[in-house]
Amino acid sequence: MSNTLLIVENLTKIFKVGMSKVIAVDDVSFGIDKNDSVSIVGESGSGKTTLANLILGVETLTSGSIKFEDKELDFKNKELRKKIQFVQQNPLSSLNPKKTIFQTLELPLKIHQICPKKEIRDRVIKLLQYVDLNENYLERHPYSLSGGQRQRISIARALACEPEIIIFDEPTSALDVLIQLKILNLLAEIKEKLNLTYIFITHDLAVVRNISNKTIVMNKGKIVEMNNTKKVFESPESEYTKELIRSIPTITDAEEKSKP
Amino acid sequence: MTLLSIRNLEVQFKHYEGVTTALKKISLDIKEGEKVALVGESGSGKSVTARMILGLLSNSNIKKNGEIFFENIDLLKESSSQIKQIRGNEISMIFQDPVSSLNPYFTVKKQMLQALENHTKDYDKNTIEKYFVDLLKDVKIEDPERVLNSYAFQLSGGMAQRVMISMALINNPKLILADEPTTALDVTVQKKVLSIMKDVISRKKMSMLLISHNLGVVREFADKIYVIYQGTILEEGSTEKIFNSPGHIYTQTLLQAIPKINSSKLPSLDSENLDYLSQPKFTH
Repeated sequence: MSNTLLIVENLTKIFKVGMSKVIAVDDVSFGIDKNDSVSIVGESGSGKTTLANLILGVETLTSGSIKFEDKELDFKNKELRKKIQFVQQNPLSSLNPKKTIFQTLELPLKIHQICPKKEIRDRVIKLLQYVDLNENYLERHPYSLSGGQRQRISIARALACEPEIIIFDEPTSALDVLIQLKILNLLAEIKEKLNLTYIFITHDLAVVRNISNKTIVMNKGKIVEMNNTKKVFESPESEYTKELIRSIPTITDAEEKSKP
Repeated sequence: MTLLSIRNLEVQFKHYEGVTTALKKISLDIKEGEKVALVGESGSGKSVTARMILGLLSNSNIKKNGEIFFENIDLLKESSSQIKQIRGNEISMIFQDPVSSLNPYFTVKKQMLQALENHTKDYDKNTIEKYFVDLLKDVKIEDPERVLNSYAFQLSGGMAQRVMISMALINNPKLILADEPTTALDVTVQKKVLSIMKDVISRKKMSMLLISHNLGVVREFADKIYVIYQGTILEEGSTEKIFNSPGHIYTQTLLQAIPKINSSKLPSLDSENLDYLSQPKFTH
């Protein structure tokens, strides 16, 4: 059996804006293996978020196909859909302000009937433990948490359905560097523990270099470069990738020298 | 010559739960023509510092002590009408999110005119458009006439931020405060905007206080750096000193925590969750 978990083939998404058309994702194909950590990078408007939305089924595709474990991704199929989860950029706006942490985390468990009702509480506590929080947080509300803690809750929520793939849209760009490092380390640890596959949507290339084994560079809806991360950074092929890497503000001379 | 000198500035916010001290006796100097950066995490007090300089924080629930000298005038002692003369005229500001800082109802030209008229009614109506066009050219906008007649939503993020920069330049200020000016921009655009800002400021011999959490940006831009943590300045020194031989453990930790583009492993920290405030302050 092949190791490929997700296959995207000739995926195209066209938005109609008034009389004109915008091709947000233009004939994109790639595969993601189990246990991969793939980064999709590009500037705003490059189509990376639309691509993530298509994989999540929040957006309907215009043409092409997305296959998960050799089956066409059908978003009416709850079983298949729960296998791909999502963590958004801004935890404050993606968590319901009126719900306690317990209510937020029990919801996916109920919707997808992950466990019997009487085990829900234990299950939620276990989810909190995955993200280094504990049961003291159960009755708290998002506003009483720090940015890093809120992002931990979002991650715990994504873990609730026992997914295979988690898609992260700029998971740490709203966080300070020290907190960012903690969250990234936590993600690596969880990936190891639960045998997960990650897709990161981000524009922070230094983070990409540190957390992913494969990198896909997008520009204007097209894939301009796709390779293992080390290759992309050490010998980028496309002009656009070179330009992106050159633009990263660095903090050491050694980094500056490593730019193409 | 020192242009701006903050001496032992202390700012406290009174609220229903008690008092929060946002700035604990900070001191900071900006010389003429100098690019100074104030670096810190969220909640460290960097934006409060900028707002104090501009006199944008003043109500009865804010207690302030100390001095902010701008060309030997203590800004904290001036009346609000005098501050208004300085703000936007001799000290101007660039904000983080350019699209929301521009007024969506008016064209760029109208807003530039407003910025000018707030401080002088005495200008030549026939040549003013030419002056605006030149300012837009200064920030490398290729079609200044079109931009001048555009609304904010018709501009890209990088373009809007360049408009903000040229608006900050209108009255030929001596000092520009820039609060996270490139945070909302893509890296390639960020690089361009930084180099444009650097170029314009040195050409016009202005000073700048850059407020940022991005150490990479600061390294590219500033001559001198102040590192602020929980309302206290922990380290100050030239950019070269701060990056090559950081003295304070907090600065060292910050620098370590940033992922590097030439490493494929997340950084590990030597020390974490220390009581940074108890360590001695470091001045290079």
